[in-house]
Amino acid sequence: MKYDLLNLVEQGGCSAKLSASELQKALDGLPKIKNKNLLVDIETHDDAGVFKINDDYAIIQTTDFFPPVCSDAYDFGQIAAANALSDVYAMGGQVLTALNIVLFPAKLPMEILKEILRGGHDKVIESGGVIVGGHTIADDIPKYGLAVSGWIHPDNIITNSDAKPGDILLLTKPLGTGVAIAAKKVELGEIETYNEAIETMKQLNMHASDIMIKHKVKCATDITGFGLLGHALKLAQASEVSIKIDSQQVPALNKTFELIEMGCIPGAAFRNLEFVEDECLFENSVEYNSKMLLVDAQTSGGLLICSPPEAVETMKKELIAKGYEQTAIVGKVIDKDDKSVFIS
Amino acid sequence: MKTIDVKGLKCPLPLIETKKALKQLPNNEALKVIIDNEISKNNVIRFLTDNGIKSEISKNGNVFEVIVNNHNVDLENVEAEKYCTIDPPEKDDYVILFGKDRLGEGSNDLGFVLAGALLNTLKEMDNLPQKIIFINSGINFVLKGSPTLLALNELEKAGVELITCGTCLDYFDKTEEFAIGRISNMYEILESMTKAGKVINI
Repeated sequence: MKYDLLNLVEQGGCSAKLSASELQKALDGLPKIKNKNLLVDIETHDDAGVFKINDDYAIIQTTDFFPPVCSDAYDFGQIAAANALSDVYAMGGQVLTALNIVLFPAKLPMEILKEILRGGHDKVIESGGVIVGGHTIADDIPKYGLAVSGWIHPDNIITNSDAKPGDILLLTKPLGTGVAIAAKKVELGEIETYNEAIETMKQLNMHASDIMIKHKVKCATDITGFGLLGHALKLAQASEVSIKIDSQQVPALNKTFELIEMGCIPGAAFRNLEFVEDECLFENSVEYNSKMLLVDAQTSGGLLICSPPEAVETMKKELIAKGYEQTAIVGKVIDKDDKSVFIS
Repeated sequence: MKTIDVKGLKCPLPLIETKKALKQLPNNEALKVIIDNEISKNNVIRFLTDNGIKSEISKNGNVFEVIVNNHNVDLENVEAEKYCTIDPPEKDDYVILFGKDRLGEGSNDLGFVLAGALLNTLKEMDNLPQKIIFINSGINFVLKGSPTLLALNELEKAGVELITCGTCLDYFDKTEEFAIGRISNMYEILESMTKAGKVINI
């Protein structure tokens, strides 16, 4: 029997992430841990933590897991793994080891779990890393992800806090995976849009990361649950700059706008909008549907790269050649202004 | 009124169904949406608000009814401008009656300070009253030199009607000192109270 994993996700599976503003309430007031070897901590809301071992090595640690975002178990395993590995790539690192994090209902056949794990395993192999173990808990709704360790030379860390006015913003994957998953859940839209979403979510950010390293990029982030605007906002705040986004240039999965126009807007998009809107200024020309795309929660989204202007065209060409076919210039970094993100 | 029942539908189907119904609805017809999921309800409301469509919500147990009375907004051509400004606070369906110049019983001086604090705080509320009515010694708030004039001025600017009892001003011989809002009669005062959804009697 073929199980559709999306049917196991609770009603209102409006993305599983806690809202950023709610999360902040829980984090506020926790003691700040300082350590001279902690090179990147949670202060700047970066993608992963970085801890220096010696002058040549720093360890990157990150974790991510979530309930099914697609119907097929093998796809789900690959996507959850690609998403967890992405944080290492966003920092410019190499993957070393990964641990499986599994929550799985006792009542479901183990073949499904096997397929999920096979998906995760394949992506970790593709990344050049190894799975060294994991932990499993019985839970009604399956959840899967990885805890990942990577390494990087301490001088080459790519953070979200080093954007410079003048940098050009590249986005390596199309937006709309949140919308596409929501549509599949309620059987709307075309299967092509969903399939395209699955392919982009499975794609590792590894080659994009290699290209960033080659061009000595200092600042980037990956686009996930807080949407393009949420992650752009965090990057702007951490770097103490402002960002301009040209909504017309932002790539989207085929027919995403048709789905948004139908009202297929996942709850996470509304939460993200609430989180960012005080710090964003939308020009009058930005249509409602574009605005909702920019806050659509992404799973295993692309990298948002701050490129020095002279390198941007070459990088774009290389990214496209390496399979990030919809890579686009979506904006630029400007001096800090009264808002953090300006959208035209 | 057209009614759609989206109970039990997975998010974002309630929003999809609401939007579909709105598009098909004649301009002067109202729409009722029945939702049993709070998140979906919030998303629908947010969507309507974002698109300049007013709605009313009522709750019965776990079931929400969202009523859209006037959706005479072109959904295709909503101006983005609307999202950049903060909407003026909504006025709710209630009036406040100041029958005396103090809040609570005990110390009159404290009561006067507290009443002033109430008016100051009121202007910060999301839902403002439609009207504030001053009778008997309540008129002291609207006289020259009253510490509450500043707060009342802001409330008036936000669209709250300030109505003072003319007979009361005459009785205390304070008509000359009347400083804000307008003077009216028992007929209007009574009508305001009977028509309001709720009267808060201070």
